[in-house]
Amino acid sequence: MKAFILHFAIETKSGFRKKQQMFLTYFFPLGFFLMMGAVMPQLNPLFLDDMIPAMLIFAIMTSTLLGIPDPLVNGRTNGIFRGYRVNGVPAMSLIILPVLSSVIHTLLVSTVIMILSPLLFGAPIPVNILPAIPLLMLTVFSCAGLSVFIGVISTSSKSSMIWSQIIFIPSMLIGGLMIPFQSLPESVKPVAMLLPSTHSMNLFKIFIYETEAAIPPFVSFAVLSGIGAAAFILARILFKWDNKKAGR
Amino acid sequence: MTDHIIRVNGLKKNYGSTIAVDGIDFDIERGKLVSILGPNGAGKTTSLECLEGLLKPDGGRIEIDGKSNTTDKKHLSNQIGIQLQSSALPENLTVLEAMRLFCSYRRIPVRSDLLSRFGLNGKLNTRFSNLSTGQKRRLSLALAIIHNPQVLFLDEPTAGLDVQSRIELHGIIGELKQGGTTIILATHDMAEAESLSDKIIILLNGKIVAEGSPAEITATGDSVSRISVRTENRDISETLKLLPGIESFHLTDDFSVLFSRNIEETVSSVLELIKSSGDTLVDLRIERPTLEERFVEITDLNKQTTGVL
Repeated sequence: MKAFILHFAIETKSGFRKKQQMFLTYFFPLGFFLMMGAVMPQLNPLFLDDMIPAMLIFAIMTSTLLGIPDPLVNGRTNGIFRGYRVNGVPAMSLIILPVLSSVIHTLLVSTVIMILSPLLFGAPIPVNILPAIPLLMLTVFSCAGLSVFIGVISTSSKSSMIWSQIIFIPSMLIGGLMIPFQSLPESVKPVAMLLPSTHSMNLFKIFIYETEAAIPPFVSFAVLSGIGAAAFILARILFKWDNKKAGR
Repeated sequence: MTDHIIRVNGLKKNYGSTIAVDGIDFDIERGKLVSILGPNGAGKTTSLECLEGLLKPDGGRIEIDGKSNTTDKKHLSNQIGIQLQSSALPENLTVLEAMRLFCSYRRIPVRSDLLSRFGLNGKLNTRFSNLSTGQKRRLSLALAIIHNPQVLFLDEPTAGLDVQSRIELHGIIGELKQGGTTIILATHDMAEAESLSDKIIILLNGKIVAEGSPAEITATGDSVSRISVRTENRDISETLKLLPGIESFHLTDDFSVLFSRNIEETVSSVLELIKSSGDTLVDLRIERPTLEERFVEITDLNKQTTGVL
């Protein structure tokens, strides 16, 4: 456990030295947040009502879906995991650590978004702040589970990017971030119901703004927890230390 | 009684229908340095990975320090250190962080002594990506021995290194051997294997085709030795090539160069000829076939007999 904690501390600290991680975790979501805050309220004043949860979920998705898979693929292809394996690092550490590290970075970004949204753009302050923390954790759990799974099954950075975008782009378009679930065409709703962002938005709106539920909350809890748990279990089962083909 | 730290009996490993390692047997004495040689695809990396416990053999038995390496993984992990050919560390990890991390997982205090010994003390806060190739190898080697393993596996440790870095790494390997560590080295560098090894195992198509000390391996070959002779008066040059057992002959600026399979007979004949002709010997050099030449001979012979390499 001591080794795991040290590894976590080193992983989180070294995350601040990684340009790609810094971009995907901080600059991209915060830049997008500032841009959306400046533009969207003029086009759609109702956007402000959903701004905080939408931007929090966006930050989580960029940090996890776009940030986690590639280092996992590179760890296998570059021999980093082989080096870890022969030096006694357990596989579970390599699966869990990027997730825990994402939690730390996401909490920092979320705090910035929570503070700046009302101050800069007049977004409504949440009625309940505390539920935001477990909801953030649940959303990270679900998105990070999918991200780790993508990282484990992808054979190259290119394929991991494609898999990530298959989830990321629909989440942006029909996952409740830009258009409320209730406003989606009926034909699109079944697809939206498969996306973690839809359920995360639903729960945030219910619990931090006390708005009416678009989807029963227990369904959203079950989907987010189920996706996360299934993805982590599959990732652990399918985890490989390297991409090395059967050489001789 | 010989103290064997590694015993391999009937080791087999297949990849689908391809036989990578075909029932090989060998023993390794404690404290010795053994090189495993072979062309690409000979089965050396597969054999090493089976020994290291990274691959599960399809047959046979491997014992390290008296215990099976497939059933007692914890024992194996404590007994062996591995420097892989194709391994790396995260590019943003610093030297000190890497040492702290792996020592922590091994549950041992941080081995600052190794960083000092391997010349990495001035690089403690340098990121892995900013280290030179030689420094990366030294760090990798230092990390492989943090728990003082009895057996150390080195896979191409000097590949891609400049001369100075190779010499430094050879020095470190020599020190480890003197300290009693058994070292198994996989390399393509014949000169390295010849100079460092107590024993050499040559693999070809998953089988051992030669085994012994470097001297034994080179002595058993069919290669010719090169004998270079320089005398004060070069009048005997034409007579030299007529001596018995000479396979070929040519003149360089200063030397008459003879090629012979029977060194003793040829050298005796050369000395007698010089004496009888009243000439004086200035220089005599004998170059036995190198391990590289013997290796090429073995692989060529196999190619001719099996049509496979």
